[in-house]
Amino acid sequence: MQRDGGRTEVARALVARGAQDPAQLRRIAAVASAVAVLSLTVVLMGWMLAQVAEHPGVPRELGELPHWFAGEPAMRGARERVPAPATAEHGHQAGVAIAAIKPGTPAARTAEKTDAAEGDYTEFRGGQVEIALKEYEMVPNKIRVKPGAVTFVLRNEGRFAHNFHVEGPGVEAHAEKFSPGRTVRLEVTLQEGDYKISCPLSNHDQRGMHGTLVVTSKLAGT
Amino acid sequence: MLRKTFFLAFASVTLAVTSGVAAAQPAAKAKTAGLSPTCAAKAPVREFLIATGEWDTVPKNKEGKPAAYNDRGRARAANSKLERYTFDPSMIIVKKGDCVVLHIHSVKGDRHNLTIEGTEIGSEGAAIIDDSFKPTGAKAVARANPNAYEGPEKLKSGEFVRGEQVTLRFQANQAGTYRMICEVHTFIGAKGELKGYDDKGKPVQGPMVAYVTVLP
Repeated sequence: MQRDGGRTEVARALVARGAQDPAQLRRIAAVASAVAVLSLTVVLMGWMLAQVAEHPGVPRELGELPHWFAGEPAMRGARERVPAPATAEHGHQAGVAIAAIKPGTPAARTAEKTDAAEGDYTEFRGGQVEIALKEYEMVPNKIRVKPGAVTFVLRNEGRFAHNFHVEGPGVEAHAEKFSPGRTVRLEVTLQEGDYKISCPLSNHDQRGMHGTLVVTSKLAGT
Repeated sequence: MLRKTFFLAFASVTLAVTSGVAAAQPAAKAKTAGLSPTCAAKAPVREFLIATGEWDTVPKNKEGKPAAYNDRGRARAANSKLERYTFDPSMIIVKKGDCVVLHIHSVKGDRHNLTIEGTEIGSEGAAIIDDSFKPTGAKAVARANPNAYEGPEKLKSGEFVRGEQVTLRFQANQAGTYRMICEVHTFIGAKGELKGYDDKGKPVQGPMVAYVTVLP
């Protein structure tokens, strides 16, 4: 279009000047088309540069890695994540209820914890047991609690998704897999006895993500 | 005369470059984090085939006899195999908003599993698919090992064995590089170091890791 316009104008100007030489006309047309091709090339180069600017997939200079390239986005996200909306999920058996709770909530307000009461056992008296899960351990991993309804408040402080499994006399329950930075609750009714707690995912259990839960009405402090 | 042609060319170049650069401005940062297990209906699907491979060697001296050697600061006896499992390809590049589908074919190693660090994406319960990517009905849950001739009799949830192909699907919501790790063959340290030996000094044939890079 632009080329045609240029051509017509050039031709008109030439006619106005009285130039009739077809050779001269042809030469001017050739120059005009060369200019058009050149400008098209420049336009394409501009477009390509813009594309490269949009996707700097290959860093061209060391030390100028784009901010998103080298970071740990997911981990940062998990740590800073705004509390997830509380959603009720279904338990795997009667007497088990799982609900995601806000990680920011100091969930242990009601729990009274006694450290190193007897041996290495941590005692929880309020019926609420807080456990932090990471690779590859549970903190604490030796727990004493009174029989009855027990709420496990499970914080994933690790880098992988984890889960929680409790197994003992008459009980075998687990939560749903949850990702780093999240906290979930698991409510179970426990009778006296020894229970094993563990992360059932992958090889986490055999790598050390397990512990002992002793349910007894005789806590050290009572 | 020709001046007008030049002017038009110049104007169009300027216009093209400006519009291109304007389009290249990074989009506003998304608020959602990480990778999510469900894809939006309109998300473009990016499909990748990944095989599990293995590098291994038994270091030998100049006479061709097995020699004691050193692996990453650990002394290894003569005749011990230095091995490490890999994902091939080990770098997956997608764009933010893409629906990523990974088909992972277990070739080397009797079994693997898979988790993407910092997310809930992993092979637990992943569907096992056949050669035409159709679900076979089996899932990577805790089950009897179909390859009990070489591996353990029971598989843990998320594990899939030689000859099986699992499929994972997730939406990439946040730009960055995510580590995709086989936990059977990787030991992760407290600060996230990927190790080839566990805390008892036993080699785990790893670390076995691939990277999923999400472009902004």
